[in-house]
Amino acid sequence: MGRTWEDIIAERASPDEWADFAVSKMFVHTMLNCKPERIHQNILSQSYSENRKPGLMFVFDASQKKIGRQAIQNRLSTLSKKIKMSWTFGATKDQVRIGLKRSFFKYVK
Amino acid sequence: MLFLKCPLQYTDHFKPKRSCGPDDIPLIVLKDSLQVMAYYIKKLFNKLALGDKIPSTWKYAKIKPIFKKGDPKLVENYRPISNLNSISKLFERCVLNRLPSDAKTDGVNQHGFKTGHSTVTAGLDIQSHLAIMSDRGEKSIIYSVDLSAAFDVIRPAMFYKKMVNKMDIPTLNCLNDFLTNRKAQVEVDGHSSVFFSFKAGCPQGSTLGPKIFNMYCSDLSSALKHGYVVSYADDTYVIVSDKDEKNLLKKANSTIKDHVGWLKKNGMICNIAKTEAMYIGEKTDCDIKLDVDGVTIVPSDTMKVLGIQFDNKLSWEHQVVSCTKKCLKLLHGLKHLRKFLNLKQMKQVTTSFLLSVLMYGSEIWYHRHLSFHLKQRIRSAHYRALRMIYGKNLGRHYSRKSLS
Repeated sequence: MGRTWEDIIAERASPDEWADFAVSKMFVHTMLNCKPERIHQNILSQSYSENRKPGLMFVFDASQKKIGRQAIQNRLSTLSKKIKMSWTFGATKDQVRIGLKRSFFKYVK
Repeated sequence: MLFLKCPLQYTDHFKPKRSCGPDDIPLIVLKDSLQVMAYYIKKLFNKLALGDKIPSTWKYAKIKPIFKKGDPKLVENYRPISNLNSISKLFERCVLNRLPSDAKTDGVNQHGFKTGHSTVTAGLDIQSHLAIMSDRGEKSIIYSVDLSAAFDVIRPAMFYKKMVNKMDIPTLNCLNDFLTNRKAQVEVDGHSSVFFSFKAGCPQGSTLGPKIFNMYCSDLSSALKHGYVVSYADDTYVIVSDKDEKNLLKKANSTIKDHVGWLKKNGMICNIAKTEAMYIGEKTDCDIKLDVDGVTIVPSDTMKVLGIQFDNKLSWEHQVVSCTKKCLKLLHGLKHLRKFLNLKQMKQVTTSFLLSVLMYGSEIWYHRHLSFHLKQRIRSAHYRALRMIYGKNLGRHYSRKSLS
């Protein structure tokens, strides 16, 4: 038995969903605007994209230890797989925000 | 070089405030009358930017001390906020929009007063670096330096010297002129002092102030040989890493020495009482002590970085415990509001008060490797708020399945 009653009435994101959304928003924002520079370079050093899926970006998890997995570039591998929309080509800020909410929050239809 | 477009486009940034500087013209009046005056103001601003000196009356400020915290009888516990002339503020805004905003002028390490940056990005930069170093098997020492009266020690001559190769001369002259020959008067409870002049410092409350501060501190990372510098306004955090503990201690002490030297060279005063340090890595017999300008500092197990509690294992236990404790206190207070608010209002109030505390910096510390009992603690605070709003208590327990 989970806390289904609270989950239903919450109508908002759970802490897990919120944290995933916040990190992915920062990831997209960093990649689009190259700000902050050092975080951008860290992510870029471990990212790749596939020709058959233009506009999507994937990130390796290169960590050796548990603490190392906390580094931003290592935490993004699963998030970038979850983001199904194309955000690198011509998407406006609003489209990205709504798209990310759709990907991460259950309550957005 | 500068040239300024129509100043009308910058008025959106101004809040319709009624407070005014020494010219007694509130911003709201300037904002409303700018449609008529825009042409003449633009002409004047362009003249100033092409080499004319800024009028001396534009450099006058009315300082209102704002109480920070502590003993109200001590002068140090007040922040000197300057009320400047409204037209000078408009000029500053026009200049600010034409200044370059790149790593060369602002510094890569600075996260304060920059678009796309925040305390969260600064924290993320620190956490990411610590995690990478730990992944490589290196031990790290992170120390913070607190500056006292950081804005009040900016020297115009030093600023000119630092920026002379980084930006064009007319713009630099304009900024230098903005910093020199400034005068101010202090106003408390309707009583004001005579105007006095000061040789160093940038007025707090000016539009250009934060940008000038960033430019002034942009060469810090190049002054330190070993450290990885992350700054948020006047809060600076330096990370030194090495595989060998003795080498690490040597590196850390030399970095601190360089750092203190840089501060002294730039006329800044380090508040040693507020300087903190933390050691990250396996503990051994080696005694780790840092020497900050003759004062010994022993690294602790936890450290507060921009409102987030870092611990030496990056387990985030202290952060989760402190934020959930704050939430419970808040919930206790909010309970009393339930009688007076309807469901929608109650939801709004709880969300705005609670989520900002509970999920502040979640990008840094809330990740999938956070331990189960900490996640459970966060969820518990979350659901407690929901139960308070809806007034129900089902008394169910969590299961590991429901959280996965």
